[in-house]
Amino acid sequence: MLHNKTLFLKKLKPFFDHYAEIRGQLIFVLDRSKILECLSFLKNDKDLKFNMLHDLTCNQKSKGLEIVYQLHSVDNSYWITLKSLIPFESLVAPSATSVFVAADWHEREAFDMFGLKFTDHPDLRRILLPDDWEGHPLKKEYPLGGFKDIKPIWAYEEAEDLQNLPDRNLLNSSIIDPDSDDKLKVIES
Amino acid sequence: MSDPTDFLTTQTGTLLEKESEDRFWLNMGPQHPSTHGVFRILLETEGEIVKNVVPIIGYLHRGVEKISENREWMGALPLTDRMDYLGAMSNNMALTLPVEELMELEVPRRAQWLRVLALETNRLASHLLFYGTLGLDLGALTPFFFAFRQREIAQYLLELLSGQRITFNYIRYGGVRLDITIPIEREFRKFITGFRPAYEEMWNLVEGNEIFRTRIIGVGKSTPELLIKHGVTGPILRASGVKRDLRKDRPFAAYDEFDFDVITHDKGDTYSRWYCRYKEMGESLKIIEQCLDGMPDGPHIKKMPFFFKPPPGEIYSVTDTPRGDLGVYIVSDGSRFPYRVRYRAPSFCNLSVLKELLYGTGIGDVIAILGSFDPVFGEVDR
Amino acid sequence: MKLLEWRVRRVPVGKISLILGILAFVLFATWKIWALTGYWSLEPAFDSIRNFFLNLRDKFGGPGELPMGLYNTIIITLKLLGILVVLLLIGAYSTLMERKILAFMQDRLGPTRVGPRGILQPIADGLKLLQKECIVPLGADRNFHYLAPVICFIPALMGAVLIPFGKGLIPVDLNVGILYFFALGAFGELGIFLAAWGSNNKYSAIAGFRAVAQLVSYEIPMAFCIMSIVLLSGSLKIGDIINAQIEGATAYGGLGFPIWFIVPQFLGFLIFFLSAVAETNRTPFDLAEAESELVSGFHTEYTGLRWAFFFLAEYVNIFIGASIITAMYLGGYAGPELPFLGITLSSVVWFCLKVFLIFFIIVWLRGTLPRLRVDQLMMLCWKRLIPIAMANFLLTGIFVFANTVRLTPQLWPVHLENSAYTSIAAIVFILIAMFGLAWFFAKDLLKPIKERDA
Repeated sequence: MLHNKTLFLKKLKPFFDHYAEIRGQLIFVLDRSKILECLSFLKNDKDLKFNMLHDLTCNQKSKGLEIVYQLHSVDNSYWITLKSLIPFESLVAPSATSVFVAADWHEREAFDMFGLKFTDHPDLRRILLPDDWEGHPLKKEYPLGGFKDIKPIWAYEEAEDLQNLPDRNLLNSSIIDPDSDDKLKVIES
Repeated sequence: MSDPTDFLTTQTGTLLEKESEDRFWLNMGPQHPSTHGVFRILLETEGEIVKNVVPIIGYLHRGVEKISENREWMGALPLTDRMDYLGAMSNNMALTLPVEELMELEVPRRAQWLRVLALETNRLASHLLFYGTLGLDLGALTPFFFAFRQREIAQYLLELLSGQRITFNYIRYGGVRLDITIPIEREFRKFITGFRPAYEEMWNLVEGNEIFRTRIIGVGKSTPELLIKHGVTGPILRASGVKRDLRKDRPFAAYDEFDFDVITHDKGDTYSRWYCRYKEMGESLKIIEQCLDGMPDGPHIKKMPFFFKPPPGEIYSVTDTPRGDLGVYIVSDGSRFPYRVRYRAPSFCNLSVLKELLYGTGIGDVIAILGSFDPVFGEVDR
Repeated sequence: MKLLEWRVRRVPVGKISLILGILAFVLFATWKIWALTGYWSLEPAFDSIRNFFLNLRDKFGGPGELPMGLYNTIIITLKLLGILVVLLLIGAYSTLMERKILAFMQDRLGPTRVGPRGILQPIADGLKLLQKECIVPLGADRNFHYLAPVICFIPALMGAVLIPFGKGLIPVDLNVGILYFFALGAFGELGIFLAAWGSNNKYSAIAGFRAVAQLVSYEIPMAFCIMSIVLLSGSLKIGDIINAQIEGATAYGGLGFPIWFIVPQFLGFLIFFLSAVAETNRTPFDLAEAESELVSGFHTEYTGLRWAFFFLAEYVNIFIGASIITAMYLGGYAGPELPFLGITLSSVVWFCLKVFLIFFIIVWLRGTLPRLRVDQLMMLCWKRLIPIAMANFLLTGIFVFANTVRLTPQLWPVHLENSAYTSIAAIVFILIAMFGLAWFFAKDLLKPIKERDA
């Protein structure tokens, strides 16, 4: 049994706008302002005890990003899904880290992939992509190949001009030769 | 030293206690030999004692979720193999399950049993690798060879079953790709008879080894509250005394038809994690035997077209993998392509607790604890 | 492109190693035959060299016979070369032996490809390392980085002169032999620390700190064990220590009855063995080069021949350590004369067998045990080994005193007939008492190390 529908509906009455049931899974949709309140209620309520934030992710809709929380009660083995729409005009959601520590990395990933900002997050940085990455890949407008042409790793800035010269090859010798002063050595063939 | 669980800071430069000249930052990884892949941890150490930990991930990010959105549903399936490459079978299972639920597919019973067979063999192989690499992390060579000798046979069996060694792509929407044949079944039985004595030997190698025990008992102690707070699941959570296994609580495939125990241990330290994984191998063996004995007849797959369109909707389904709960959140808009596929990787969540366990330990223990978490970085970075 | 091709081009390692292997084997066999027939004396060979020069003079004429100093130089150089080649072969072939023993323990075959049953593998490895470039990290202290392997390797070579290969086959029987061995051990630490410091690598630095702490600590129980042995034999000379075990007495002291020192010094043997394993940085004490923790410890930044020097030094050190253990506790080359072999040769055989036994146990440890943690390692030394070694030293003193009393009837409190029976009874009594006390402490030693209580 994944959930107790009547109990959930009774308990969550003050929080959700509407709910849906898809293939036996309960999904509650609530306003962004009520997220934190609802999460801490679910965590602390004695009958529900949703003590694990199982997942936190985003889903892009036409009007905004939908933030999706999957909560799990280890003791009762209940599962519940909470959703809230964050409109594109203000892509800010309250951070759940004050309630669930597990939200830390998930929120960083949501920020990384969707550009969704979380208020009061202790350390909102990119987590999977490099810090200087441009764009947020999981958004629908982000092309599969990325915005920019991908350069080969060995094409350093200094070597970019040399690379276009005919009949020349580049060999990165800085790693193997401790005596070389410049990063790159050009060897004519 | 204050309670290590209170410590929560991720900023690279944030110091917990006052700065001192005795400390320096040690960059462990991503090329360090025993970070189990491309993990990078910045350790601030005072002598050998770790005072600050900054885990950095993402070196193996390949954008599985983005690529999945740009492929058909069938094309998204092989990508899951590349996430947890040590338990690829369970990743296949994790994606097929919500799709089948969304489409309300009836999967043949034989297919479900074959799935259990494949999943458990793969779990066995994965735990054997854990056994070996934990030994290597602690500096012992022999457990590695003992474990890999058996793992090699398990991989061979999976190759017979699915045609692939690592990236199986075996569990498909509606069933499994290939049926089991009598010679393959015979090979399975041969493996089981050969595995039992080796299994005992592996127990003695660690349990009767004083240094092994002193290295792992009491190292990296965790409490159920801490682990649940961080969303840690799987053998690590079971090792701290929580009797929770999705194969029992939320059975998928045909797990409700099998008789097996959920292994728990109450200490929550590295030894407990070793113990749980070791004993789970025995349970897997039990399940495999039951599978071979009672394999039902019937088709092994419900034929599906290569391109199909699930009805619009969204499902979050969770399966148990050798590393913990793999949650898959799929959103379908009714087209041939997935609208959104999200993998909640168990290793990703498990690693987030590492920071608190590592605080105050030595460099040798860092490796032992990391090894006992058995992370797979294909899965963490996806 | 040419440079690239040059780098990629294959070198026929197999063929070269085969040829060099055969050469080395011939050299080794020749030396063996010389050593065995000539009782460590290469005089016939040296005479032939001299004759060769004389013949040259006779044929082509010349300024007269070469001065003796030159001959001596040539001969000493040849002797040194012989020892060097033998040592390098021992160092190289120890690796093969270790790999084969480990493979046997782990149900595999080990190296099989180079030569029959992989017999030429060490030579192929050596050649590969010879070809490799010696990389120096950019921020490294180049002088230290260059010096460290040399400083590590030279004490290992210097220690070789102590090895009692057989009866009368001790290259240099120093009168401070054991102390010399001890001093060289301390010298090796310097090399390790220089390597760690000069590499400019944090892992190496940690390994250096670990190594110094470990090696300095483990020298203390070792010193106590050596002192106990010196008490028993009355000499620091390796030859005397062995003679004390074979004959029972030397000019300087001894027990008066022949016995291998492992019997009265079983505890000391255990402690010395553990300390020797720790001194050579072997599992379970290989914290200074812990692969899984510190990448490769103090030689992380070393490649090619410089790395090979560390490697060789380690194995030569193991060999020397095993030889010293054999000499101190297992009676050195003592053993019954074997048929057809003669006294010298059978003593060599016995010595090699005992050294191999010790080596096998060291490899066995590597095959079974994981590595200790740093605090556990230091605890084992300071809380277990050192107190027990001190107690052992004290017991040995009492034992030697009792034995002296036994040997001098004037000191006896009660007058007894100095017959063989009383002597044997006294010896048995003393040995039983020693064993009892040793077991009392050994139980403590063998107890599990508790969880981190420091």
